[in-house]
Amino acid sequence: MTAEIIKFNLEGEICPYTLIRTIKKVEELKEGLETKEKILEVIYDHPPVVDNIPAEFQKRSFQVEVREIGTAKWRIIIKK
Amino acid sequence: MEIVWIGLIVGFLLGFVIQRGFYCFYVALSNLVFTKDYRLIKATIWAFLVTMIGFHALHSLGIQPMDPKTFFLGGSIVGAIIFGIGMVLSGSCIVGTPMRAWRGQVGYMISLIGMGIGGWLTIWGPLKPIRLALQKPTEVFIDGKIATLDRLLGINHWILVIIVAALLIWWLFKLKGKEGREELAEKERVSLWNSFFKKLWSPALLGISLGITEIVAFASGKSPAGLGGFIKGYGQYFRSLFTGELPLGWPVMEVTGIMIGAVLAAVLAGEFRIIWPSLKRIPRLFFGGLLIGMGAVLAVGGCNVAHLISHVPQFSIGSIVSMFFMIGTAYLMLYCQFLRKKS
Repeated sequence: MTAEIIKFNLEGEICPYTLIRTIKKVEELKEGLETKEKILEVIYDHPPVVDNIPAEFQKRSFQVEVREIGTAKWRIIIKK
Repeated sequence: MEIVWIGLIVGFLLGFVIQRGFYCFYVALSNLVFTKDYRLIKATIWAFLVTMIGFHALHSLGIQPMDPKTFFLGGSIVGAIIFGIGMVLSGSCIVGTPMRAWRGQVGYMISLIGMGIGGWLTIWGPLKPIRLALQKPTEVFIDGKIATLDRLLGINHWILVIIVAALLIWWLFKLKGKEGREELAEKERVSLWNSFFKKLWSPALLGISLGITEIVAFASGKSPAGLGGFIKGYGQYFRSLFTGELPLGWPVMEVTGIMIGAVLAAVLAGEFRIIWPSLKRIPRLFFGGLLIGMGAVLAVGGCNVAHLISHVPQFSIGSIVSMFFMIGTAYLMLYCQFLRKKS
């Protein structure tokens, strides 16, 4: 079974709202993420996310993958 | 002459410290509400403890008398509310903005320009009459003197110091083990050089360094009772565009020092990188900065740093009221935007 990828674009969003809105999104998708039916993919262009998004979600025992997909543009995948 | 150098040195220290500790008061606040990252709040508590005990000791030893901010019923409240809105808009604060700007983020440099214009508007510009009306005529005194908490309660200031210190130490113990990100960091051995110049500082190191910088500023007797005057510094830079002269007093030297310290800290850590903001982010950063500038001036030259770690430790009631409205406004806006949707 392949998981459904939920895309969430937070380009233009700044600290601390990048983190807050990601937390809200993860809470919203909680069930799907828990059962591994869903994977959250977020696009950011705000540099501090590289540090604070993985830190926060690893603590909430998620797997986090960060990839730089352009100049000052990152794709972060959050899954169980 | 002397005043120039001490301002530059204090600014440099502050810039270096905030950059290494990634210190932003607004992020400290929002983390407290939304995440389990208590690193910055713990640093703030440490800084507060150091400055409170330091200020009262210097005062009692007769080295440097305290100079708490006056309480203007109008300015302290209205300014703080405007400042709170500015923080939420720009997602940053008086130290978070230069910290990010001087690690290469152009968006926050625009925010600093906003702060300069906001400061200029209210200190010298067209909003000056509003500031004057909101300040002096609304001053609140206790026994004909500046309103402080120890005067209000009629107790010796050291009793209050002990009570507040005990409460804060209890809070630090409660937050023990909740640092946040450094728990995750591998416990690798790093050289002293690297742990100082490359790694994110621990809450205690960050807070105590902030506190000591503040005490140096206070003990010099040259600054407005501790750190402060940032907005005036940015405002004077902006004003010099018309007048052609840049007064090299404390405010200008302090903000220049912050820039040098923060850039140097970022470069040494290999973190300095020019990053352009996306276009739609610019208005928010600019107007956020503008409101922060105006609010700080109205609230008696009070940004979050000046109030929270310079003047609340001196028990200024004006500063306590300002902090209350600043945090209250920010929290209310965050609540409306994010928390309410939950239920």
